[in-house]
Amino acid sequence: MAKLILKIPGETSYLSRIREFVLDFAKTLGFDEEGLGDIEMSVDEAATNIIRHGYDEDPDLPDENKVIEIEITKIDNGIEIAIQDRGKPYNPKNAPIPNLEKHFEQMKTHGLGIFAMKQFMDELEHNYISGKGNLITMRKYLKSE
Amino acid sequence: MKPLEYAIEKEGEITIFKLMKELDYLKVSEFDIRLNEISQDANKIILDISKLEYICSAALGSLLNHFNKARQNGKSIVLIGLNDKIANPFNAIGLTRLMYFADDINEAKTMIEEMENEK
Repeated sequence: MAKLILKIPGETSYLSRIREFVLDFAKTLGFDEEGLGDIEMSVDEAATNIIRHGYDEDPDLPDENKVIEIEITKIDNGIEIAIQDRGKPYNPKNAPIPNLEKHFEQMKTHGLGIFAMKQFMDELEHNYISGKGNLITMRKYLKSE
Repeated sequence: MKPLEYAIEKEGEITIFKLMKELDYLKVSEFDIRLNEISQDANKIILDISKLEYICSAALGSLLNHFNKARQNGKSIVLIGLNDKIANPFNAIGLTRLMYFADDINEAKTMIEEMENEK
C-alpha cells in the first residue's frame, strides 16, 4: 500500500487513533523501534499543536472545520507524512528551538513538541494554503545499513 | 476515551509507580495528579516505564518538574525500564542526564539507598 489518508476530528481523544494509523503504516516499511518512536512522537506533537493552539484557542473557527487530515505515503527509502489543518497560518519551522536548560529551570512543561518534530524527522516543510489551512510535511528515511 | 493505565505497589518504604501503554497529552493531567499524590505520601519512588509504549513531550516536561520538586524536598525518584521505543525523547531532551535511571528494580533500590545515605 503506497498511500493512506485519515480524516479525523481535531480533538485530543483522537490522538491515539492518529498515532496508530501512522505507526501501522510505518511498521510495514521496516522502521526499527527507535524510528517508529521518532515518527510516533513527531506526528503526535504536530496533531497536539494543531488541536491545542490552532483549534482550542480559536473560538471563531466553527466546530465542523476542526478536522485533521493525514496523508501517509511510502517514498523512496522512507515515509512522508502530510498533516493538513484548517487553522490560522502557523509555521512550526519558524518556532525557535528552546534553550532546554532554561526551559526546565522555569518549570515549563510545554513547548517541546516542535523541538521533537525538528529533532526526530529528517525533513520538515510548511505551506499555508489560502482558504484551506496549514500543511505540514515531514519525511523520515530508513537508516542505511 | 482511554484512561491512564498504571499500577501502584508498595515494597516497604518504596512506592513503585508502573506506567503502561500510552502517556499522551490527553493523559498528562491524570499523570500529574497521580504522581503528586504519590509524592505527598512517599519519600522513595521508583517509576517503572518498561511497559510504557509512548510518552509525549508535555509528559516529559511534567516528569522532570516532579523530579526537581522531589529532589528539592529531599525525596528520591529513580526510573527503570527505559525501552528503545521511548529512549530517544528522553535522550534528545536531556532527561537521561538530569534524572536517575536504573536497569532494574534491584539497582533502583540500591541507588535510593545510596541517595539516602548521602543525606
